[in-house]
Amino acid sequence: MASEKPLCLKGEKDLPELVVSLGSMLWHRTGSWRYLRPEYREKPAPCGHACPAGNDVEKFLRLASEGDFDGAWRTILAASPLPGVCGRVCFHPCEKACNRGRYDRPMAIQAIERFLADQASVRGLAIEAPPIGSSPDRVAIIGSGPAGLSCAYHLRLAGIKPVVFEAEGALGGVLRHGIPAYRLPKDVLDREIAMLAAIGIEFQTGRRVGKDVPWEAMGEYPAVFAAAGAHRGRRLGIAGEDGGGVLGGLEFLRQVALGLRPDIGKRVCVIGGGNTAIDAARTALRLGAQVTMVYRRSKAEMPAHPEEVEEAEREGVEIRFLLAPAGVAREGDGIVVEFQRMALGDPGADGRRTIVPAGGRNVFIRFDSILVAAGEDADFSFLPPAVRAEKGQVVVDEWGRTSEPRVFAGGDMAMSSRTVAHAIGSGRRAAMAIARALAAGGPAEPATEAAETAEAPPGGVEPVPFEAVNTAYFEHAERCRMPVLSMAERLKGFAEINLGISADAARAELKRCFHCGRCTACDNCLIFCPDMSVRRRPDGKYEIDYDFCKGCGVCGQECPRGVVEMKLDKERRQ
Amino acid sequence: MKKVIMGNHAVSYGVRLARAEVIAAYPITPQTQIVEELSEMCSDGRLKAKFVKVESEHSAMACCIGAASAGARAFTATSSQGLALMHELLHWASAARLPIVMTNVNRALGPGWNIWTEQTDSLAQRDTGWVQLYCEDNQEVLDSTLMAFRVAEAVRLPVMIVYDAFFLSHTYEPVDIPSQEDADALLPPRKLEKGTFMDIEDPRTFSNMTPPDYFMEMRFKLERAMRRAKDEFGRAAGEWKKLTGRDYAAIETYRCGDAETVLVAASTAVSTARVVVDSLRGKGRKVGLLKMRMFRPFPYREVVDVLRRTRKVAVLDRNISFGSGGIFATEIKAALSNVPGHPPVYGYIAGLGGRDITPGTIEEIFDRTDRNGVPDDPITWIGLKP
Amino acid sequence: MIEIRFHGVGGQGAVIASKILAVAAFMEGKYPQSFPAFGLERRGAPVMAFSRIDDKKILLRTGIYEPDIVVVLDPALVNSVDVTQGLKKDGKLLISSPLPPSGYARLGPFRTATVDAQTIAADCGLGTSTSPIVNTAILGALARFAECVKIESVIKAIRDEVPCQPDQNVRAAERAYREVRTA
Repeated sequence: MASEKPLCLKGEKDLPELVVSLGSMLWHRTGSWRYLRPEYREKPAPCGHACPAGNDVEKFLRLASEGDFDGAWRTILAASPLPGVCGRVCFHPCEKACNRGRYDRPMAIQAIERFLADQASVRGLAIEAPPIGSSPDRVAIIGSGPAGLSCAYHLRLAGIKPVVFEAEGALGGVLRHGIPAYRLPKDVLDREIAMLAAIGIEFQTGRRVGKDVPWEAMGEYPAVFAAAGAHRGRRLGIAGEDGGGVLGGLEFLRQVALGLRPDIGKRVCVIGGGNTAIDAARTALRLGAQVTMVYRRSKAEMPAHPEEVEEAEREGVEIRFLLAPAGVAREGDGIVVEFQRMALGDPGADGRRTIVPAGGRNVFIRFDSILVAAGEDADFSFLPPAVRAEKGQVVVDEWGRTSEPRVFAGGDMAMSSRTVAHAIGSGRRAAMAIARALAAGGPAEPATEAAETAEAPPGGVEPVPFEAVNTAYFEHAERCRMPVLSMAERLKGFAEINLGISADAARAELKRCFHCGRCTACDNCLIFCPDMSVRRRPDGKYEIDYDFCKGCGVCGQECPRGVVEMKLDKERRQ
Repeated sequence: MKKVIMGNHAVSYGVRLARAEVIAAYPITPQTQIVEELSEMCSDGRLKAKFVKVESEHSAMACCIGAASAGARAFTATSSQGLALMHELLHWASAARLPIVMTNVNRALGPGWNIWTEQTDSLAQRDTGWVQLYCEDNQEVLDSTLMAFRVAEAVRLPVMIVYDAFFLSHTYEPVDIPSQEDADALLPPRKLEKGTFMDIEDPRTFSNMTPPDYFMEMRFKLERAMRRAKDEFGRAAGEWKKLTGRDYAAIETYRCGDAETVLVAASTAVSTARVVVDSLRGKGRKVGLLKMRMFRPFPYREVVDVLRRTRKVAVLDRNISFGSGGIFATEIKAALSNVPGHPPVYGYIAGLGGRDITPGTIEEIFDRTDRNGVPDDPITWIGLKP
Repeated sequence: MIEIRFHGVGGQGAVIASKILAVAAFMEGKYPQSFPAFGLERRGAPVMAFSRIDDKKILLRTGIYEPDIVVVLDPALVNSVDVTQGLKKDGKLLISSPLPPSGYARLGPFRTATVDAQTIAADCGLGTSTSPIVNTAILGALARFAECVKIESVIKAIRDEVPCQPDQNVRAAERAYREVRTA
């Protein structure tokens, strides 16, 4: 506290040699002046926040930028067993969310994920899993697509033995039979599935539950995770649809994936505007066909990923819009499809504009075959009726719990967002819920309590907004470019189009990351604090001494990445 | 160990032996190889110091002020316009009582743009509270650098080492590089007394508002410290002589014993003048030489003791205070003014902007002083082209 | 005391030559002093450097106006610069040139020597064939011609002071030492 008696400096001898206070100023708690309070708190970066699979994107980018490629790969593995797959086929919502996108261009996160997975494979790294627990519990998983593989993997990491039932002869579900090899080479899929087999996940192929294995056989498992996907192509509901020369888009892709070469002739029509339609069109192109895609609405309404649409057009797929199929007729060797002209109407419930008949004469186009990709439905006829389903989906909560206590579901059969990343995330969350339920003992009861204490799904804390990033600390830098196969080489077959980035390119790209919300111990707050009220903690990060911090806000301003944030100081305003 | 080195590198060696901890410098003209060599020493590990490249000389001094406030041994180097830019902070460094050491390579202030030697840049800073030492050869440059830190830290005042551009800065000659042991013996680590440096464990208010009630007393203390600097220099020089055999003092006399005319000079002109004095003595003329090593604090007593016994005093100024005269001459006159019957002082200005001061220049000064009566004008120009 | 003036073209190494000479003299127990022509240095422009060598400490700190020895590092300079300005009447003149010393009789009654330092330096791989760095070669010739330092000291100084291509520089000095031509 301040000295009791007033200062009395009579002369030169009482004064210090230099202009300095006579004693320590620690008594002077300048914190009492504060009405704004800096808060030092790490926050989620938007990339990881946006990742449906739950990847800690910022962390793996950070480790990779420090040169720890193995650590970065293992960080991805904490959320997803399929980085080689996601690094190729994920539609990277992380990059859409990336704050850097509002500065110049987003981080090339997907390219880096792929680089990390590929280099881990080259170096022969293996997944590390704990020993399987003494409990005899085994969990049945129906379907070996991304949801099933993810659930099996996370259960295995929790020390639980999973058994995966796959209806097809080979593993991977939609990854193997739906996604063409030019996007996802089969050896990449094989390599990641082999890693899962190596940690003791049991796979049974050619075992369709409900046919080869009766549902009753599931009774021996304390929990079942159903992730059989959505494979049944929707019909157009028009005359002539059921004759020859008309094939479902997904079925077509499955046949090609199995090495068959379905006879589609020269002129091929693909009906639909989703990703399956695009995949079917580009696959048909590679079989030598001349492909016309026909979509009812306009380009803006296409559900397919814009990058995929662009690539399809570059490869030579013709896309015609605002034509709705109205009938199919056969003429000689070919097929004539009748289309009704459409026009855009008002926006519908999903925000996309609806279509209305435009009037005028219908259009007739001649083709050799038609591939119908108007969407897919899930087949859950193998599930008991007690498992409730609505609108073509099994009803689940965010932890994948169905209306039936022992039964969990995920992936395309239980979700409206049908992406690989969402499927991986659903498998992971279900695995957490199952592990919790099993740990609680006995058959898996509706685990409300467990759900609350389990690791929170993404979405708890708001991610760092772009405005919180101090871009003065970052130089503009070009985003790395993905090297691609030449157009001529692509159409010769199913070779992978994207060739992957080099280690040098990855390193350069990694330097672009803002590391939003993550304290990198840059010392800015420490250096800029005019009151030395920011202190270094033993772990190298910081703490704020509120006894002396007078809330000037410089630390918040100079934090490059939104870790230090100024808030109204409620304590001091009472 | 003796090495053939240039004056600029003599400073770098001195700073390294002094174990400076922070070096701040602006690397563009009029900077010299001093900091170039120091940056290499820092990067290859010969000197464990933080080298801070700043955006101006003003910032360089600000950085040294910060470093010295926090207790570090800080150094910078500059010249001419760079020194002028620092002016405001030179006052701050001394009044805050910070033991910063700076080298100023004397260079003329432009325009006309000129990178050659002239003392006006450093002498224009005479009132900023810095100790100023002027050097005659590269050995003295190195030794003075070490002694500067010693004096600075003993009396808590900044010290400026000053020497001529090119005539020393770029001239190679043998220099005895002292051993680290000798350097350490002269200059132990900086003592950090409580309440004299910024200490996060003992936070204090520095450079506070000082009202009229106390301001004069603080200035009195600064002046007293400045006077102590002369004694401290004497002590440091005495120890250095024991360690190396080399002798330094605030002033130096050469053949002044019975001299009737004594030339006062500083820097390299002293060296050349020694040759001239010898030559004139050989011809029977009673001439002597007074070398001003220390300009601040001004060694009044020592100067008066030498000059009061002579008949005429000539002062060679490689500088000018416009409208007044040579700055050394002005100060010498002031020093002698209260001495009854003091000798007349002849002020000569020569060698501005790097014009060579040859033996002929100095001989002419002696000749004119011996020949002429007391001049009316405080300035006599030597070597001025008509 | 000997006073030497070097004439060169920026980039040939005249300033370094004066420094190496100082180091060589110092190795022999002499007291050297070397300095460039004070001012701005520009590649390709005529430059000068100076050296003094004495047995005792050199106190003179002024320019050199009446050298005992002039060393010219580039034959073209003879036509553009007054290289013999102030050279003492019995002074020595060393010119890098393929011509014999008699080719420079017009410059005055100086003791003149020549050496083709350009060719020697280029042969030794110093600099480029169009702008060879001749400073070490010329010092070899100077050691033989002017006897102000020994060739052994020059070689040792080159090894101490020249960080790149020391062997080639030493070879150039030795060859110039052998090939210098006197009148």
